[in-house]
Amino acid sequence: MADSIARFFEGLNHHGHEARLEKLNGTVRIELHDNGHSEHWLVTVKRGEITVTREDHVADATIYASPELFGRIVRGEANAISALLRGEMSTAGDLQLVVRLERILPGPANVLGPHRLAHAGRAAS
Amino acid sequence: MTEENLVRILDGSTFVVSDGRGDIEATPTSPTGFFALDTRFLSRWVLTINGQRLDALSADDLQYFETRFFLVPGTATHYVDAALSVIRQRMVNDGFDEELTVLNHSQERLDLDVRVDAGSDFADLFEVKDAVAKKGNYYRRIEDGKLRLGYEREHFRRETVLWASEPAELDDDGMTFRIGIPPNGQWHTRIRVVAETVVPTGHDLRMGLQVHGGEKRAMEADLAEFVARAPTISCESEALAGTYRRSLVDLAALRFAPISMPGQALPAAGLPWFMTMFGRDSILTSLQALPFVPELAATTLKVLAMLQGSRLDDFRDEDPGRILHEFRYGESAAFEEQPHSPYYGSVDATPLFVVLLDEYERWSGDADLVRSLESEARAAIAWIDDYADLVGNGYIWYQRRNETTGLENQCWKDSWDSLSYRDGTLPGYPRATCEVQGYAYDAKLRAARLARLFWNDPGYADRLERQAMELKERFHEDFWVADGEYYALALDADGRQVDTLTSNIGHLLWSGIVDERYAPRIAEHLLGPRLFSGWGVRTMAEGEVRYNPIGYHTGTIWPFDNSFVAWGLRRYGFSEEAATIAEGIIDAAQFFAGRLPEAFGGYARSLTRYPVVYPTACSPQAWSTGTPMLLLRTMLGLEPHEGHLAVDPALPTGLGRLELLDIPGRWGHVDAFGRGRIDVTDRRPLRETHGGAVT
Repeated sequence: MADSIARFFEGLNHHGHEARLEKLNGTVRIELHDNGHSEHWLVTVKRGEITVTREDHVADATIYASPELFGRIVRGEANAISALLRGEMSTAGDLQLVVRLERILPGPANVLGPHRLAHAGRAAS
Repeated sequence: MTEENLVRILDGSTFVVSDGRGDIEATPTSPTGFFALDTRFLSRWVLTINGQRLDALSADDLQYFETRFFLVPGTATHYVDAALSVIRQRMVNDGFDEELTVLNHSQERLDLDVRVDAGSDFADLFEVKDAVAKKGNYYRRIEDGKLRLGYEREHFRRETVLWASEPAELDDDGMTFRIGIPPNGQWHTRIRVVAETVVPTGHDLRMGLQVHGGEKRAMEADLAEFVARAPTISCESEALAGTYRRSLVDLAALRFAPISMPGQALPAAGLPWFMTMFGRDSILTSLQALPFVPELAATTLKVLAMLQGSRLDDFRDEDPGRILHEFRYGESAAFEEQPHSPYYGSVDATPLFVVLLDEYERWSGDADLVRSLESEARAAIAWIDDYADLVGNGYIWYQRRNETTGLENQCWKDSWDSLSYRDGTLPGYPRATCEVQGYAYDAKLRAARLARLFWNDPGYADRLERQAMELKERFHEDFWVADGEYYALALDADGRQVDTLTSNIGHLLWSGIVDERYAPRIAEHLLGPRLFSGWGVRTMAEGEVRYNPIGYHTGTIWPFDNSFVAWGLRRYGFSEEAATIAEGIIDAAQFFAGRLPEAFGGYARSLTRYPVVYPTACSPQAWSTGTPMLLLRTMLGLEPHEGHLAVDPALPTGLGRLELLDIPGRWGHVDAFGRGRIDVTDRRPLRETHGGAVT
């Protein structure tokens, strides 16, 4: 579980430019609490460039979750918006930043995708 | 109590539905309550004096967010001689305030027990009609002079908090005031009711949900400003002026500030079941309101862009580039019992998103927004070409991947029997409805304009235009029903035409996909006796096997549908036909006190003489509210043209003189004038003869 979280942040740090976050500037702190033990990451987005550090300071938005839940989210096993509505995850600060960051999280594993008919090819263009 | 007698006040996604005396006693058939965030926070709210229920002398709607009940003890008789009366004034404002004033009309002191019973089932909006057994636990607490009704399921917690300005005895089921009022005196208290969504870290889910401050004066000022910013109408037809003003206020009421974008508003779909953002409804309403309240379009575009699909998710029917269908905040979305977090199962919202972006720029000149949404618009176009083309023949198709809670029909006519062949049978999946292909055609041409003017990509623009031209030709070949001379409602997976005659052909005119040579036949069908009732165009033509004048999408008349049909007719130069539809719908509005319903019966006008009320779920409903606005635009022929506003009126004589003043846009503010010159009455008797004959 800790591995998938570490891998996720490492991947995010090496993600480079993310077109979907181009309009975004800000910092999001992710705080994971587990029985008194807590860990934190700081995700900085500058015009689509993402960097991740372990710096410990206040951010524009903060996400609070358990490592168990966050591990499931980064593995595509849990949905972050539902977790927010459920109260299992919570946020403070600029919610728009959180929602935009949520868009680049992985989707569920083992999806079928569109039910394309067997003979479906690409559209003529 | 019937639905019509319910009293509703609202502000965004917060609303109170009560009976005529202000009480709430929710049952599965009487969906009263205090609602916020798709959850019922009060299912019981009953006022008594000395154990006696009260009776309403009158109820006044003061504002969309405020109402006042005049009450006396006991049940109604023809003769009221009460020693006391009660004024119960209620205002929705991030929760609601209830002001109780008890008046003693007698010469003696009155000692009274004033009691308010309170209780909540915390039903999710999706459970309200089914009375589903809850999976979590209820609790009640009294602390710091407040009564707290709560519901908890794992981390999910919703609380209703109540307190009063005057001393009250609180118990688990409400509060009692033991009061004495001197002769001819009065007693007053204010009860505050707040909905809370506490999470373990103490942060409320709804930070900054409101469009404006919650103070009454702030709300009144906000409404006054909203109305003042919109164009003013001056006309001889009180029916038109009245329905326009009513619509403006209803649109203000339906403004909804999404959690992720505090302080900005987009239109929610409708009270009470759809007080949330819907891709399709929010876009179409923003389009209708563009000449009047252009800021709604900007927020709609920004919010839908922010939540645009970014990955494949079968449960949510999400694909990259797809625009959402519906976003809900209740328990069923939270626990993934429903897919609305958000749900993407709509095929029209994505092309319509591009249509709105272009139309918004044409009116507003807001080039910055067009530039900032370039990647989202391109992703929407890419979705049309790739994920939506399930058959690989260049059309938008739908087939849900979430087979339990996803939507079977992902077009605006989303009921189970809305699509049928002439013999009444239903097609299989996937399905490609005609109007969506029109939206795709329009989206590509509009994206091409944006690519050329703002995205500096003429090559992309050329490609899009070529694709649109090919689509137009192919569409005619595949959808034209030769023996009826109209376009099929849909194609099934085998390419067979779903060949019923429906109002969808009118949307094709709006999108411009209809070849000029065939447009006159489409106009004839739309105004012909099978589709046109005298009030408006039916969703499905009389004579089809599944036609039913009170079938939801198989014969009723939808005002919003008609507003787009009329717009389409004008686009092709059928001004008289557009004016005929506009007048029919405006006439119908008079029977609903200016507030057009979601739909009304498809009976011939000559048969019923009044539009037959459809037992509808939603009122006000956003795109019905936007209808008078789009009809005004259509009749006045308002069209942005090279930076100024062109006006080309084509009004029915019945409307007389019409002035629309201070129309906002890139030109600043412009006035439009018109005078009714089109005599639609000579069309009507013909239609009534036809309509009346079919009984």
